[in-house]
Amino acid sequence: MTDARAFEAFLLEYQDMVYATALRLLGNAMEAEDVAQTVFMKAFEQFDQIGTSPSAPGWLKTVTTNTCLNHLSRYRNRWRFFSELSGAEAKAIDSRTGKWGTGETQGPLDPTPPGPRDPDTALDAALRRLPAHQRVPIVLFHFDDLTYQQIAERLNISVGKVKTDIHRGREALRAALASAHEAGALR
Amino acid sequence: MTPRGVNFDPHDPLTRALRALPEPRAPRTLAPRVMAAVHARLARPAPRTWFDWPLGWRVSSAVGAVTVMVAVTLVWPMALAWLQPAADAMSARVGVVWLKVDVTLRVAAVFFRAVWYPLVLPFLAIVTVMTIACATVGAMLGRVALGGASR
Repeated sequence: MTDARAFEAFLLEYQDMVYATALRLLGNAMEAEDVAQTVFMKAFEQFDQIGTSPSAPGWLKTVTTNTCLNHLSRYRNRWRFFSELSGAEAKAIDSRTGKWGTGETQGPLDPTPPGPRDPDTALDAALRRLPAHQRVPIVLFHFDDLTYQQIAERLNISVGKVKTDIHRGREALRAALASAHEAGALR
Repeated sequence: MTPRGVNFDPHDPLTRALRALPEPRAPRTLAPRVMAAVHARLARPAPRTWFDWPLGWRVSSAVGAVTVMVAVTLVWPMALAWLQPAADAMSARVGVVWLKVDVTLRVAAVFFRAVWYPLVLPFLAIVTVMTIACATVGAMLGRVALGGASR
């Protein structure tokens, strides 16, 4: 039987890392918390093996990423189904709200969004507001240090689409960052 | 660190800003929530296999199983000898009945070939088409309503 106290110590040690990974990939605090709980329950089931293993952080990171991608793929399947029915190729779903958006024609991010003026906070918020198809490659690229090829394989899309999504996402983030700097300078 | 084979200027303000973003901290509710789920899991009795039974139960169950097998092996020939006369009498009656059944089946076969056979193939074709259509609609609905199979 797993020692609950030992697991609680394990949980307190890694909860920030798991939650941060989920939050950046999903862009939604409540969903990130749900995923973090799922990941830790999986860890609990295998705590005898991974509890004292030095590879525990890597295991947690991998399981968190996979769980998030599975979560997002459910939305992606719906998006593909509806886009096939409607003939619209460029629709995207914002996993944060579950609402439909047109990722190609409509800017995924308002360059001057209302909200925090601090550049770090503004950038963090802008990252969360990106549509999933741009946010996920950017997070895997910048925070997990995956290559374009690796991201394409993980997401089961072409390398060209990965490059396009990262480029467009970065442009949106750049605009948000510039806007935050501008607002800070005006104050 | 720049990913392998990718050239983003590390001095680019956006890249630096992204790298410098502080790691979000887990909400205070997460740990109590997970521990509540863990305690609920621990409170559920784990399924027990035969190997987890107490030694006395394991021995008793093994002896019981062997006894049943031996009993069946010994009793079976006696049961056959006891049932044989009844089986013979039954087969004599069955022979008469079987003759009637055989005639009926032959008549039915002639009727089937002459009347029903021309209708069977179109009927099967309609059933097949309808089955495929239902399966397709069901799969599409499942994909929309349930989000498809998870990887």
